[in-house]
Amino acid sequence: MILKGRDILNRRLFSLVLNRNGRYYDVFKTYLKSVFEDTYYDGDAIQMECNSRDYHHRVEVANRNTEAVCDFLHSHSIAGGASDAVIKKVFYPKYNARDDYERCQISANRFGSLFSLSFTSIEASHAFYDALSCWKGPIFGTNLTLVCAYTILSFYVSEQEWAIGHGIEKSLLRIGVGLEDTETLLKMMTVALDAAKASTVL
Amino acid sequence: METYDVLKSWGPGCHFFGYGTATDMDKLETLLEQESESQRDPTTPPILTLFTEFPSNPLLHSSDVLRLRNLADKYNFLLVIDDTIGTFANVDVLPYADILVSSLTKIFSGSANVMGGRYVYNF
Repeated sequence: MILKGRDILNRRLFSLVLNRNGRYYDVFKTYLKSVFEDTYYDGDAIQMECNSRDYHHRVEVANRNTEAVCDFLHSHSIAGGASDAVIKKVFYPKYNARDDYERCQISANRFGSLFSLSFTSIEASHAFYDALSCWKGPIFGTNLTLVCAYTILSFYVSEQEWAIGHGIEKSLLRIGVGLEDTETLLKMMTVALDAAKASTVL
Repeated sequence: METYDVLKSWGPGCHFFGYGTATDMDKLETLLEQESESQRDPTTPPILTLFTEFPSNPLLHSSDVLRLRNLADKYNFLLVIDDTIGTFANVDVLPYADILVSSLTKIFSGSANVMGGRYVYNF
């Protein structure tokens, strides 16, 4: 059952679901009912509803694309056992804490459309980013693939050491995979990977 | 990160376990034990809520939500799970969460031409 809602935090728009088996369900529900105010603009609500109609189909296409791309990149990573690789690791639920992911996974091969890459050098990361022929941007979940130089964009220079201390390497690229043709995406990744490899050859 | 910054800057403060691994879970459990009713400094607020993403941004790590659920029940705090990255067509985290939050600006919309939100009650 969907009710309308509003911005909760810092311009990022959220939905909120209460677990009715939760101990605080009644408390939350009473409180939310008492404070709820519908401030959502009608035009936005209509656009959001239109966009969401093929949500399930888009998720399936993006899941498939992402798995194909990640399998390819993982096979060319150090973590995936490749020698002289420029990619260190592919961060993707299929390879990360998979048992914990599968506890909530609805069915097989549903790993989502977001992944990150770390590289053996910052030069390789730069070359991969520059050669990757998709749009650059800080969001994800879009119908077009987007790459983001995550560590550099998300943290001020003064915060980067803190981020690096939490496992977010400076070379990290985050990629939200879209709905393009799978072969096009694999070709795009191959070109970027070749450029990253070339960057480390003197 | 915004939740972290807001709690740090304007809230009662927070503890941050950045990896969400078993080691982090052990640290969390130690902290919860120290902060439990009998041992807590009564002048500080108790641990009220734990926020986690499933999986996390940007390292795509999934925490052991079963263990978190058990800790939440034992130490009486709320578990808030953000499933934006997994997205609800792929993952069902609600059985473990008190509150589920998701951004609809991401793949739910897909077109990046609208931002929107909603409250969803599970009747």
